Order: sequence, then C-alpha cells, then structure tokens
Amino acid sequence: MDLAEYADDLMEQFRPVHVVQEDADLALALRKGDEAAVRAMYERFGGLVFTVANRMLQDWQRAEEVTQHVFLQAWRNAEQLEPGRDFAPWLATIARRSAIDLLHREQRRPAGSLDVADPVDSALVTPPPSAEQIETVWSVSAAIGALEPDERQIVKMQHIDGHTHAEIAERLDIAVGTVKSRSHRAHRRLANRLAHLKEFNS
Amino acid sequence: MEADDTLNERVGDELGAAMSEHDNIGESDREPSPEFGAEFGTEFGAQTSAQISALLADPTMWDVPSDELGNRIVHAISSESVDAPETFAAPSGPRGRRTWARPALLGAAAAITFLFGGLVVLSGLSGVEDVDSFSAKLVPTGLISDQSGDITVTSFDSGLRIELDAASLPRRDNGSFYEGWLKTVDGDLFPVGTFHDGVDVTLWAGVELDRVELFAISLEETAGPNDPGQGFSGDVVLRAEVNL
Repeated sequence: MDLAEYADDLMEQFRPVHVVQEDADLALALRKGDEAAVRAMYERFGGLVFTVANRMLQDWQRAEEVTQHVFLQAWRNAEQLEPGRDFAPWLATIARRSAIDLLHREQRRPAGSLDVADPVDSALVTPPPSAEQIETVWSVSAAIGALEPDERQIVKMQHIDGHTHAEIAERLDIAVGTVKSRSHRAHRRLANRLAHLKEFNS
Repeated sequence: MEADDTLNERVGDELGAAMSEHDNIGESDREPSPEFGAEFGTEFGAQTSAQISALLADPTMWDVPSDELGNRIVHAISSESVDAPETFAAPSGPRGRRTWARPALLGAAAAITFLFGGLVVLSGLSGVEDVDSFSAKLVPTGLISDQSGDITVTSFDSGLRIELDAASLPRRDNGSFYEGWLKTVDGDLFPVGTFHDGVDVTLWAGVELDRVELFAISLEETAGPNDPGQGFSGDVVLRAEVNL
C-alpha cells in the first residue's frame, strides 16, 4: 500500500456513511457531465482547494486561479473518479500539484543533471498530502469560517497580529472584559469544532 | 456540538460579564493573548494543538475566495462544453471528446506501429540489425500516486529507441506534458521526447547504449519566455536505473 492509498484509507474512516453516499452520487453526476455537480463540488470542497493553494502560493489571487484550474481538471478527468472514493485527497493533491506547476512556470530551474533529482528531495518529489494534513488544514479553515464575525476579528488579531487583550480592546474601542469573553467563546467554539482532531491525530 | 456551543457562549458571556466588572487593565492583559495550545494543549495533546496554533497563525488560513469564484468556475466549464466540436456527443460526459477521438488516435497509432514494424522487418532484412536491447521497470517517485511502467530500449545504428508503456499516467494537456530524459554515466542529460500520456510512446535518443545510466519521466509545463530552452523541471514522476 502506498502513501496515497494509506491516506485514502485513513480518510475513509472519518467519512460518515451519508457523506460517502453523497460523494458517490456526486461522482456519478460528474461522470455524466452534470454541470450542477461541479457547483455542488465547489460548494463542498472549494474552501479546501483554495486553502491548500493559498498556503503554498501565499497569494489569494493566484490561489483562485489554481482553484479554478483544479475544478476544471476535476471536470475533465471525472471519468477517473471511482464512486465512493473520497474527493478531498484527490482534489487536494491536484491543488498541490497545480500550485507547484504554477510556481515552476514562474521560476523554472535551469536544465541540469538528473543527479539533482534525488528521490528524497522535497523540492523535486512532492508526495501527496497526508490524510492528517488535509483533515487538519480543512478542519481549521472550516472552524475559522464558522466563527461569528466579532469572534473571528478578535481571534485573528490575537493569532495573526499578536495583539494583547488590552490592545485589541483599545483598537476596537470595547471593554477588555468583552474581548476576553469573545476570545474565550471563540476558542471554545474552535476547540469544539476541532474535537475530532484529537482522535484523528492520536 | 451545537448544544455545546450554546452552553459555551453562555458561559463565555457570563465570564465576560464578570470580567467587565473589573475592567481595569491588569498585567495579564498586557501580555500576549494565550495561544490555542496554551488553552487546549492538555485537551488536544501537544502535537495537535501546536499544529492548530500554527495554522491559526498562518495568514493564508484567514483568506477566503471571492464570492464570484464559484460562478467563474461554472462559467468556465460551461464554456468548455460549448466549445466542444459538433461531433462531441452531448450526453457522453466531460471526456466525451476524447472518447470519440481515441479510436481514431488508436487507429492511427496502430497504423504507425504496423508501418514501423514493417520498417524494422525491412531493416532486418536489409542487414541493419539491432545491437542490443533491454527492458527496465519504472519506479514511481511518489509525485503522482499509483504509477508504474516499463521501458524497452533497443539500440539501432540511428540511435536508441525507447518504447514506453506507462498507461496509468494521467493525461496532461493544455500546456502540460511529460518529458523523457536519459542521463549518461558522464552526467549529461538528454531530452528524448515529450508526450501527453503513457500509451504507445516511442522515444528516440542519440546516445550510446552503454553510456546510459538512468531514464526518467518528468512533469513539464510550457515555460514560455521564462525559460525559452524549456529546461528540465526536476519533477520526476517515474525513473529507472539502468545497470547494463
């Protein structure tokens, strides 16, 4: 069993039966050329694909280009889809591959010896993202998206800008207690939404 | 989960209300806000909480695609469907065009193979014999999962003929393609041809058989002005050590 199969098997363990059925229906619809299925797939997996691309490219506009490319590729290659197989690792792998291709187009390496192509060189050999990586990135992204706007703002100021509670209170012109309350509530909400990762990564 | 969220909202509000009663800024307020790991490290374990903290601190995790992206994707797919030629049977799915084209391609390939086979036979009859031949199994590097293949290399006076069978390689189109490479014992790298998929591929190289050390297939993109020489991308997907 190679890494991709292992990742697929792992992901299968975290898909409820009704999700497996939905994915199977979606795969069949895509294989029939149903364009509505593309929108359904985007609504379910667009965030994942965009996040994978955006993390690699560090540029949301180019990440959108890659996201579009990924769904076009998925559409073109729908006949390869096996009903029942999880979309997430497949799409995440295409997203990663497409982001690498884009980076290469922009800054190609000079022709050189294949000695350079060491199998363990991560720049040359990109293994498919592991099930853990996909699940964790996707889950955190979804958990952030599920925060209330006021909670999201405070958590972002904490984690991205490194602001203290007092600084956030000052910038938002609200009481420190309110900041603490929202922060606590937001982190608790994140923890609840990410609870499955405790089992997943244990 | 929803019940937990509601409960925690209430607890959080009560906590906040209690905190608001003491709204003077204390020393702890001036310290950096606790990270996810500090609050939930015990609950999640050090490794998982560190991963979550790192992701929360990654600005790209907070970006969201624009609202129009979904529409753009659907529009692009609709356009692609409309652009398909009339011979493209409507209900045949996104790859219908290729499904129609493939028998023609296979027919052409069969014709070429037949013609080429005839030429080889004729060459043999006319005294131009192959010098040596070997086969090797291609080993996947992991860049694309579930890949395998074989090559058969035959030496002719005109050069090496490399017959590739790697049918599992996913097709690459629209500026994306595969490229075959030979590396010699001298360390020189020879491009031996480009192709879209691994079915019925024959590559040629002006290299002496006993100098060949490695055969590899890389993923390539049309490089454009960034790389007019269309150099080696380095993304090797299959490779075979050649030990003669």
